[in-house]
Amino acid sequence: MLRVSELKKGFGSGRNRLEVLKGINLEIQQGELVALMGPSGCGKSTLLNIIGGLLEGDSGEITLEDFTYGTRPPNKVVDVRRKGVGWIFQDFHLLNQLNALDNVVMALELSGINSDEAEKLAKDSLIRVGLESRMEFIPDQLSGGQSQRVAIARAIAGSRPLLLADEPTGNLDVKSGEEIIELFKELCRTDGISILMVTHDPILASMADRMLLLKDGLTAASDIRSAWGEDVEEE
Amino acid sequence: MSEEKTTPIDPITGKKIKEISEEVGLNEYSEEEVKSNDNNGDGLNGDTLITEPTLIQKLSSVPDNLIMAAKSAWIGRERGLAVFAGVFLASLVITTVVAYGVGLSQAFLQFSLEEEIFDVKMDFSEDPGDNVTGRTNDSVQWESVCDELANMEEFSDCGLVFGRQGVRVDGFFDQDFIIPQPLNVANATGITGDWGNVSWAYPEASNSGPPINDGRILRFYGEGIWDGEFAERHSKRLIYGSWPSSADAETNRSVVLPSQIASAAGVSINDTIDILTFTYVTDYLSFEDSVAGRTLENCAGEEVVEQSGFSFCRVEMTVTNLKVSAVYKEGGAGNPTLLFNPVMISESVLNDSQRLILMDNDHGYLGLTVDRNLLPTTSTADATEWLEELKKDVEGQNYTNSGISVEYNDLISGTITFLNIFLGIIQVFDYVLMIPIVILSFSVLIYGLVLSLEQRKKEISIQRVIGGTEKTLSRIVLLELIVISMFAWFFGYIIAMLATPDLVAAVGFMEFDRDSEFRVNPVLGIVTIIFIIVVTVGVSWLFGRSRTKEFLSIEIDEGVRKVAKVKEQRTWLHLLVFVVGLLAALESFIQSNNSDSDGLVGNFIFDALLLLFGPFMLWIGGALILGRIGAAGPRILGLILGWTAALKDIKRGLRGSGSSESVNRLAVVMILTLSVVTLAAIQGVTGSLVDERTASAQVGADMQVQFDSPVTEEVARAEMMLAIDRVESQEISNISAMTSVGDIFTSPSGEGALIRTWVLFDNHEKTLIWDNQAIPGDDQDTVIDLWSSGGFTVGEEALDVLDLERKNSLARNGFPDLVMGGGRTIEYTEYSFGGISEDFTPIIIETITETDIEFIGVHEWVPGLGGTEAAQSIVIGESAYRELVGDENADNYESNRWFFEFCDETDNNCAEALRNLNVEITNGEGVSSADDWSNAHKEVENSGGLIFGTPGLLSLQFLVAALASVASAFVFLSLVLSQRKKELAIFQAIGASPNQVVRIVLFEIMSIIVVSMVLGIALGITLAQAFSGLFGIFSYIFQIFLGTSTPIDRNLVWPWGRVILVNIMVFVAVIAALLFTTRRALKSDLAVVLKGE
Repeated sequence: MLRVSELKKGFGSGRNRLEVLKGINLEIQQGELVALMGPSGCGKSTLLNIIGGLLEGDSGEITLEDFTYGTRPPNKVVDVRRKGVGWIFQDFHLLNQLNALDNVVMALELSGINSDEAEKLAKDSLIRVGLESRMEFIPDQLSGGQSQRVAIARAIAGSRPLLLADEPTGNLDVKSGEEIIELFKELCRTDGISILMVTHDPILASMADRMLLLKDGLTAASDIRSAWGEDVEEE
Repeated sequence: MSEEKTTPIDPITGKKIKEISEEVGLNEYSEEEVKSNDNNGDGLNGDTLITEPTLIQKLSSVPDNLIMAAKSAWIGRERGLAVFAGVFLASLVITTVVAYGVGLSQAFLQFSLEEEIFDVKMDFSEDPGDNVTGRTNDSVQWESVCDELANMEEFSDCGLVFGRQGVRVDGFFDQDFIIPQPLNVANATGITGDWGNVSWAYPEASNSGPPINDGRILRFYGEGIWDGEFAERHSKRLIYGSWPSSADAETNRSVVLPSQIASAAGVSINDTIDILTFTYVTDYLSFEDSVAGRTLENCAGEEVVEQSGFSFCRVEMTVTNLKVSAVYKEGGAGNPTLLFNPVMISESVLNDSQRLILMDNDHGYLGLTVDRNLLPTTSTADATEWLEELKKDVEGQNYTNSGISVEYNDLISGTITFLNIFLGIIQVFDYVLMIPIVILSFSVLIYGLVLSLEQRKKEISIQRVIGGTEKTLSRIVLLELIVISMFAWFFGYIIAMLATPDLVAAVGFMEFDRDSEFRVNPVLGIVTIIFIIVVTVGVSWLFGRSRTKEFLSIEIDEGVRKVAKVKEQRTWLHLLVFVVGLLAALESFIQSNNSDSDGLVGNFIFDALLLLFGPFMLWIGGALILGRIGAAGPRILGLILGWTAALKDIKRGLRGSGSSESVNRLAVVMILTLSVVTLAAIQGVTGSLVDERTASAQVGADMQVQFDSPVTEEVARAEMMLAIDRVESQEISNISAMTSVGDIFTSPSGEGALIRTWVLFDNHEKTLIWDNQAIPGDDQDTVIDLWSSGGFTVGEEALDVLDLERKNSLARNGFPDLVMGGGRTIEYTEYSFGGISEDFTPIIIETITETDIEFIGVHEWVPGLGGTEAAQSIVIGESAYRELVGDENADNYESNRWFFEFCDETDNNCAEALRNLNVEITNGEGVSSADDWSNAHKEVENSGGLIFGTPGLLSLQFLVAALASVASAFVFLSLVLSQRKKELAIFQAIGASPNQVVRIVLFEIMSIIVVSMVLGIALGITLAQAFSGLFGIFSYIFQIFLGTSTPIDRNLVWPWGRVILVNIMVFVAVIAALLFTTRRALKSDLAVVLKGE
């Protein structure tokens, strides 16, 4: 569903040039929950941003369903963000002046869906994430976990096949964080959505189907067992 | 004692002091060091762990700190721009207002002194007589005193004059002031010119001041008067020829004539006067002495009794063979010390004997000019004091080897005394006028400060977390603020000083006379400059300090989590202020449209307070209340336009915008600035129109001529054509149209009461300059037609006589009162001589004629005729007049007063031609006086038909407010958008295209701007009405003060063009700022913005 081939990205120039991604290769299947881990500064967020259309790579290619991109600037990959990728941020990034329903509807309307249909889809999404009774609440009136659920509803409302979650539980307590991961797993299982999640928490990472370890600008492992040093073939 | 008990412990963390010191990398303190410096017993070394720098260390670090602050200001220049804009505007406005006041004094002084050529008349301190010391009869020696005085920098020119006798009293009201007599021209003969036609009586002289002398005076000028500053001043009044140099004056035996004399004699340049006889005075006798039986003994001439009752012995003297070098335009009466409008002759034509006689009889004095640039400009009181010091200095010395002592007659001080009163009233009004613009500039400053500090909220909070104290953080912020403010103050100061001379030279709203003869050079004293710095930079610092303190006291997490406390607004207070302001506007509207009404508030004092403070309350309250509506612009226009394709997909993103304080402030600033723009434009243009209307109402046409006796149209025309031929102007070669206004007395039929009845002849509108204010309703053509078809208008005070009511109290202001009706019959009685009766009494035949006239409405004035008389008169047309007096009388109509139309009086070339023609007409046969539109308008402009200098101030208001609105739009916008950068990034992350982001931003900001613009204009219009009362009062006072017989009501006009132009400029500036900042926001790294780095 998602294939990344030889993706490279560096920052700066000349002597100050820093190559963050040195040729990333990865694949994510439909319905997979993949945890992306690595030391600080290894390029996890950079990789996520490029896949999510917020940053352009220097070279390489990304294929996501019908979309092919990777080196195009953000203003040229609007459709990727509209129809391909849904974002979930650590800080939730909800629009504070809109209630939960409007936050989700807004994203759909921006994609060109008419208001009535957008409202229907938004309600379905919010119900899906368990916020049926919180639709009229503005972000200030929601807990962290609830705010993150609204963000998830916003991301899934447009039937996007891939969700990118950048430390989605970073601002949540342990229990809320676990609930969010459980929701992720459910979305993967029942809705066939793929989720690529950056996390520092090995316990949360262990709840994923697969773990990708990023080190020195390259993926060093692509499954949790090999990440823990176990032989996959023995299984 | 155990180690734990003796080891110092931090009571807060529980850690050992030593551990803390090591952690933060500070010097390790021994236990003894800690204990010895622990003042409050808390176990810490002193109360801090850091030693305080000494004063020298602090001072030496100031330059470094300032440089760092400057760099920091440059790096954060976007936020600093808001502070810069505010301080710059405040500095510009306050400096301009203060410099303007100084410049106004200078300009007014120059204007008032324009008529004065001589600044000082220097006489001998002692009266002539035997054995008197301190005098000389040697005119050369007397003239040489000029050489000594030339060493004093205060004097720019000096020369000998033979003219009025010595004045040795202070003030005009001392009886002895009228005794010293001038030289009078008695007679002139010459081959060229008709000198027999010239009258040497000049009654205007004694009518324009104390009754000193009523003959045409004469002065003989020494060489010092023909050159230098005196030459320059004299030259300005010449209309023919040129002012000769001293050498030429001597060679040619020059004479310079006043225009009236030259015209009467029919002489021109280079014509000669063969013999000119003049008289000098040798002795005098007071009225009391005369009554007491004394006589003038040994009078070698003629005894002449002046209007004062004094008798003077006047002896004749002649000079010969004079050549006319120039003719000058006679001016108005100035300081009466030297009397007015003399014939001027070179002193070289006198022989030694004549000089000696004139010196003997005290007719020789020194004329001096003061370097007026040295006059203190800070205040007229300072100028008076300076002149008094100069007088003391000069009188305190003796001159030449003969020890001549002098009497210094200052001719400027009297003018200044009058100025003080006049200028005081003007300045009070002008400072009141500038209050809105000063408040506006401070509003921009304060809002800008708040916005810029808000930008640093997170930075300050984070710095606090990592150890910054309130003191150090405060210092960083305030130092940066001071650096920006000082730069802004300086730029504002420079521009203000450069702009002030032009502002003072404003002759109308946004009209600047760059060739104005009044050039001012306002210089502010160091104290004033420091005051302005304290007020502008000081306010910036004070407000910044209090706001910074506030920020530093917020919860740390509030700053880091970016959750702001919402301050509750005192809406009830804003509303109250607004309502009071609206009341003031309504009161002003009612009073200005219904002179009979007292308005809503009956009590005089409350009414005055309401009209004085109401406009300001309206402005501030209005901006605060309407600002909320402006900020809700996106929601309002979203409701109206949300269904459109442009907004359908983004309208949800506009909800809630306007709820932020920044957006609210943007709306408030826009309304504040644009309302002042509108107010300034309306009052400014109204003022300029009032000037033009005043001139038109006064003069009535291009030219109004009063003849000595009634003349027919043909005679008036012929006289005019002669004048046109003489002036030889390219602009005026013929009469375009002419008319007169008939003046008879009629009465209502069957009643005895007489009413003054003015008659407008057909086609009068081609000559008379009508104004909508003068007529009922606002359609001149209709009213003119009605007059000529048997209609009549009536003055306010004549209504009762004709038993009429004013149909609509607001008739004059766009509510037409043209319902015909209320027909009246008036009768005219002609008296003729019917012979002598049997008892030898004259038989008077009364012939009564009647005509029916239809009531049109109430007129305010007729152009060129007195406003007071208009109120008591009715005005009819020619047809009604003919019915009353008959065709024969109407065809042979004669009048003293005729009006003429020549050219477009508002054109500069025509205006100059009118002025020249006026001079010729005035000197014409049988002409009593002539007034032209150009001179009247110039006088009204320069001396303030409104108020002297106010067009400049209103222009300043307009320019500054326009500048403030454009600058605010730019500055606030970029800051508001910076605050929204993250939100825009979120929009993009959830699928918004760049186009959608641009539309969101554009629509949101533009809707705020557009709604605020509309509200700003509406508030400005209401403000103009509210201020109208204040303007009207002062305008009325000054119109009366300056002798305008037809005070024009200050009915507002609406200069939509100018207002719309400024709004378009703001609109364009906002779009430019929006596109620029949005592009920047779109180009910024989405990932970085979202991460919040």
